[in-house]
Amino acid sequence: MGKPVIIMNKNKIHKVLSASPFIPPELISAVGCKPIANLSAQTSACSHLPVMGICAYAKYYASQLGNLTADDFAIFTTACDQMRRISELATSRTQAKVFLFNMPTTWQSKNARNLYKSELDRLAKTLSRASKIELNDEKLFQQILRFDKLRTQLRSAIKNISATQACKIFDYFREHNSLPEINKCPSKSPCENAPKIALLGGPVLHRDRWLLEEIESAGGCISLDATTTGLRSLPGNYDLEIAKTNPVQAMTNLYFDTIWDAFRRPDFKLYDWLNSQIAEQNISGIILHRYVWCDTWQAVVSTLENRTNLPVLNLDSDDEDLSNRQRIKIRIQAFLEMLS
Amino acid sequence: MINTPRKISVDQWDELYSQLVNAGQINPAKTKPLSWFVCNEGDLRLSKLQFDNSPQALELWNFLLTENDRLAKARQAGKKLVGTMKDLGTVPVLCYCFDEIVAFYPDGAWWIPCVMEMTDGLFAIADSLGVTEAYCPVRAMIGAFENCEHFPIPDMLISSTGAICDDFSAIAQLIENRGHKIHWWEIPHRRKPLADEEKITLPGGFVAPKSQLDFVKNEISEIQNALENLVGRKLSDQQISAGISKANQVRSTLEKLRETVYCAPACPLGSLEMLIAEMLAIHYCSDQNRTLEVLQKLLTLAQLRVEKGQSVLDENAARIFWINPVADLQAMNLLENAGGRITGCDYLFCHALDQIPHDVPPLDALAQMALADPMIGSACDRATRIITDIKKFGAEAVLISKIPGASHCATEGKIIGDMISDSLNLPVVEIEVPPVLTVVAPALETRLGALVETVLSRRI
Repeated sequence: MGKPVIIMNKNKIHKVLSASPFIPPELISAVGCKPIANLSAQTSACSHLPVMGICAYAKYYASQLGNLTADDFAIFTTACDQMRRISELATSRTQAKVFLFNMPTTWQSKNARNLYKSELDRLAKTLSRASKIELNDEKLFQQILRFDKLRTQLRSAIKNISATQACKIFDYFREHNSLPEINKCPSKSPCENAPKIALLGGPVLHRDRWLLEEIESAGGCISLDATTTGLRSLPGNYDLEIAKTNPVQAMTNLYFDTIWDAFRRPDFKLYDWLNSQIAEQNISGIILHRYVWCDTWQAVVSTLENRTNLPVLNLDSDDEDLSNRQRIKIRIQAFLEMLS
Repeated sequence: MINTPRKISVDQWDELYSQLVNAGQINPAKTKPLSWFVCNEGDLRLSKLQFDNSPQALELWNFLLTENDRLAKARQAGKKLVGTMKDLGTVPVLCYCFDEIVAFYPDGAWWIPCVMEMTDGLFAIADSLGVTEAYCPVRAMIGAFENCEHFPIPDMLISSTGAICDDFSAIAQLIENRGHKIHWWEIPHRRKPLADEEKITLPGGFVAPKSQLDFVKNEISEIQNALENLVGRKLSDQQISAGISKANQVRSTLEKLRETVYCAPACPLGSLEMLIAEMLAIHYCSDQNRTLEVLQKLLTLAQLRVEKGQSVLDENAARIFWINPVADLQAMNLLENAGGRITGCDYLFCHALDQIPHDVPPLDALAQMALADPMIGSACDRATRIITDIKKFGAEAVLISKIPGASHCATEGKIIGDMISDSLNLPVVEIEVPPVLTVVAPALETRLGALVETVLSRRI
């Protein structure tokens, strides 16, 4: 299959598709592009990918490329080897421009931090060339202010609501870079009398959000959504004083120092963060959700049990089918029964 | 006594071994018969393999199969053991610049389940830790760290991370989380330089931005610091340069061996012995001097056989280029039994076979080597290098051996296969071989046979 015919549209805003929490939307916005990370979009078929060895999420991400035009960008990161390698296949199968971001897995050295910073710089330059809008400190700082405020509002909005509702707000935020109107009923905390659960893992596709509903309907309360599509991947707040004088460095530090993921080496900060959340939220059990073929998340189970001393339910999910769903439902019910 | 080169079984080797000992051609105090490893070490798979019938080949196998003894002796002698993980070829060069260090790859444990025909129990240990068969056979490594039966636990572990397989990275992290501290170093995905970026051509021909070279050099410098702290002394640039020269001696000997064997019209040395010989270049099987000796003897043997027109296989064997190491070594015998021979290969560490540059500062040279790893770049890059080698060695077909569960194997085979087919119009077959292939042997033999038939029919 050859490369599709490229049709450029001069007036179009360049959409930049990225699902990695390490790609700051404020940077993309500051160079006049539109960050999108829409996990609920309808996708085209993805027949060029092999059936075996690729996780459902990677397949989903690759399938989204069909929705992009020649004006757009698709960002892959090296944080996941499957995504790194799929980016190569994607290059010849989408009109969009593919950008592979070298995401360092190490984080303790200055060298690694500099690599991350230099990759942000390379990304900004690439996008600037398309949008004809140069990155400068003022523009970046304005976007930092905007996204910092949005994230503060987001954190406040998801307090005391169910994880299912919170998920919808997250989705809206990632898709629109703004928050929906929230009609929050001043009800009691959804977690009263229910076992408090931390849901941990990589991204949860929109089609699999029934998982959260299932946990809640089985009597559990997800008081911490620590998946990549949940709270764990939301960077902390900026130090705006520093951001004003050196926004690029502030952005680098914020993302590099506040998002902890299973792919980072060493990975102990993930467990430190998790344990602090567990203590704060009084969590009594962990549900790990991962897609089949995700080596990174599969391997955390035994460490998770050792480091948190909590019961862990290890859920592997594959392509959507009824038997898969039924199996997962029963396991969730059994786990919650055990916790109750 | 050895009239003609041929492949023989362990039992046949026993008979030959006695004759060679009696004739004074083998020193039994130094070289054991292969059956000894079957009986005493549990290396059961050896009894299913076929070996070259030369004393040089037996010495090679002995060298490989006695690595643990050398590691134990090194520790007794007060040397520091360093487990180098994943980078396949670069960090050991630095380690061997220190007389006080012996380096080895715990990754090598991935062949233990095959060699011991699963009696080792390593996969069961890995399973119990959640590292199931969704991972590549390198998961045996964590079992070996847990039961401490297959190599001494190193004094220091150094693992590359970044643009590596997720399997490996996840397993190495679990090893660290179970109490074995790791010095992590980052190898970035090798990307194409931008138009306005300073670039560098690496050994092997890949091109990378200079900024990536600088980054990797810093990482290697940190490894140097860690090693210096381990042994309590500094390493000079001169000492590193001397270490590089020694590594290059090994590499140039191996390169001559590859050219002699793979370019020869008839096959002077079988695929198993060549695989082991190539592996020696990665970490010298814990003895750099001995590695050079063993390789030189093999080279002399191969040259002599070429001179005499001798072959261990059918002289008309189909010339096959093999991609990726295979989990069960017997698969290589199966190809040969089907009428094929290996003329060129990429076992994931081609960068460890290239000469390390002399004309740049030593850490720059090592950084160049690390960045030249075919696995850290695109599959297209890797395919380009493979195509060059296929042309060089005159292969007539290509066999891509998928590694079960490996994250790179899901997508790269098609890219590499398509590029080879498009540019060379050669037949390409992809196979997947489990650590013990017994169950899939009939299907595998059929596929290998079909590939050989295709090659032979194209000659007409």
